[in-house]
Amino acid sequence: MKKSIVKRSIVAAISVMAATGIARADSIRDTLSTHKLAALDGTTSSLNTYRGEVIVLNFWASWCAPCRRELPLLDQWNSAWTGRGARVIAISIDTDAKKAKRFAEEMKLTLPVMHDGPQGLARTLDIPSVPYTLLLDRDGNVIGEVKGSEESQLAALERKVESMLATRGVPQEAGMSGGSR
Amino acid sequence: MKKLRWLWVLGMAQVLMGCATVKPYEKENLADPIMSISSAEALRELKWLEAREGSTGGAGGAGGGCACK
Amino acid sequence: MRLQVTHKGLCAGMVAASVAALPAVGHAGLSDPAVSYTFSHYADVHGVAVRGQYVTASARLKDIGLSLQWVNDHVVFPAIDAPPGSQEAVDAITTASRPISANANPYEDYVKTRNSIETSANYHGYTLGYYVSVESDYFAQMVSFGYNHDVLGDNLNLSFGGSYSWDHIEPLADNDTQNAPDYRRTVHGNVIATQVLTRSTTLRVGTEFNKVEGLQHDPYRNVYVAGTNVPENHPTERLRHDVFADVNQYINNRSSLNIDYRYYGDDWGVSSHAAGIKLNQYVTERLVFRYRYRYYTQAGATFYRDDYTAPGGVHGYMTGDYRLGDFGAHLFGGRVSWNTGQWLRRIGVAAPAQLMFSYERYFNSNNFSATIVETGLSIAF
Repeated sequence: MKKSIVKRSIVAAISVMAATGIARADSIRDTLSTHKLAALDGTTSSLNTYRGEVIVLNFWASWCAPCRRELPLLDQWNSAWTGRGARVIAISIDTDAKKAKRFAEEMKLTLPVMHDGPQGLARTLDIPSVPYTLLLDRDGNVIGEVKGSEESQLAALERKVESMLATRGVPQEAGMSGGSR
Repeated sequence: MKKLRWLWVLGMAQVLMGCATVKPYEKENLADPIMSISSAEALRELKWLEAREGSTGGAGGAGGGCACK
Repeated sequence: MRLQVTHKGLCAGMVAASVAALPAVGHAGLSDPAVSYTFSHYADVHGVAVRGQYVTASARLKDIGLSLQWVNDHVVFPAIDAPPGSQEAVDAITTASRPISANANPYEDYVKTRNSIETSANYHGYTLGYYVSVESDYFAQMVSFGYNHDVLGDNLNLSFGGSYSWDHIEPLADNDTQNAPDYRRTVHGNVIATQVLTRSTTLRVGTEFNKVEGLQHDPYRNVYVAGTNVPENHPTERLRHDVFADVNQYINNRSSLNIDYRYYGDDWGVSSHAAGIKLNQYVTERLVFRYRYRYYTQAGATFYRDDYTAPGGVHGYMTGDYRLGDFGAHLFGGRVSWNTGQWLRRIGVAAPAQLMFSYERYFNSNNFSATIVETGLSIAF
């Protein structure tokens, strides 16, 4: 009797945790898809615009040296994936949009660069690092993340996106954190 | 000297216990170049100061040896 | 030159503060691809002039940061400015801290060149380094290691470092001292904690020790002891310790204030306090002025005397080195840094660069003063 109560309690706890996790993941997906982002030219849009595409969302800042190192790589990815169903969107968390604009011009970036400041999505999602990269599937669900700019993790993310573009599935890849959000 | 050392340890502990948590996306001011401490500059300065004073330290590392006068 | 250390490629850690928490190496230390050149000129009232050139290059190989620094020092000791044979000349020759011989005429400037190379590698917070320095009478080598790690939500950086150096000293021929080849070995350790206190404040505290063994006096210098001219003699062991702290505060009108303090003590009886303040101010978007002041006060070694009246000095030790006595000092200075932005593109350099110029004056209570001028260019790729 005792054993079955314990068993049922554990199952109930796991169900609650799973339900909370699912609810949280839904909440993040909704937040990401509806949050208004301002492009450097002043126009606004949301990620809903890109529903149906694989999105790599990168939070960066002009004051962040690893961000400056990895942005040219992300720019290359974006060029390679344009028209194939994936894109990279870089979101600056600089307080001053002018700094983000100046940096994007100096680096001659062609990927979409948005400005959201430190109190926007970065705060809502409580991003754990700068830079911080999220991988979103075609439905806007977060299926991976990279904290920092470690080469091996970025390479794994690139492989994952290429694999998704090739198969239209979501195979498991070693080397990067999977869908915990 | 021992007393000073204990004061330093206690002071450190107090500061650490009372610190606010600053998020990664809130560190823009801390990343400003005017907030950086150049250890290269500190070690260059330590080299000529050691040649003019009887003490050393504070740069967070040892400079290499020389017959500096 | 600004240094940034990022472990795991994270900015969110101690971007600025971690610079200060670098372990024993890293003086060559830019971890992003960059080259820099710094020219330094030191001149004091004793006529000593040192022209220093520092060339540093750093690169990244995957997640490994590499750096290399070459330093060239050109040191000029002035000729003795006293009539040959006069008591003044005899005293100057006796107490000179340079060789005097048939090959080193005391009435001519004595020039010495020093070259050193330092290299280091940094991987995920671990650092290893090697240093070698060559001059005519001194060959120094050092190996160093360090580790630093962010904890407490990346708001606290703890750093540990150490180094071991071994120097071979071969004094040049000198008329009034007889010196065989000798050695000096130094073991160094440091522990540093850098804490983010608020969004605009960091605090760094640290402690270091050095254990030095071997030759620690000037092999060319004599001292008058009870009317007799004897070679300088210092203890062959020295245990040195310091604790330091500094606070860095960002001020909303695009300035920052840095206040630092260091206490030093050793088993020769030397103890000192050093306190400094630096104010950085953006004048334009790309131009920064820095003003600084440093105060220093020292209590001298137990065996230091202005005049040694008893034979044998103090327990067999005697020194002509004023650095081991009581004195106070002030250092004032200013520095201007200019981030060139797009300016260098006009001459084909696409990378961001920074130009720096600084001027400092140093005075101490022994009527000694010096001027230090530095200028430099660093280019980040």
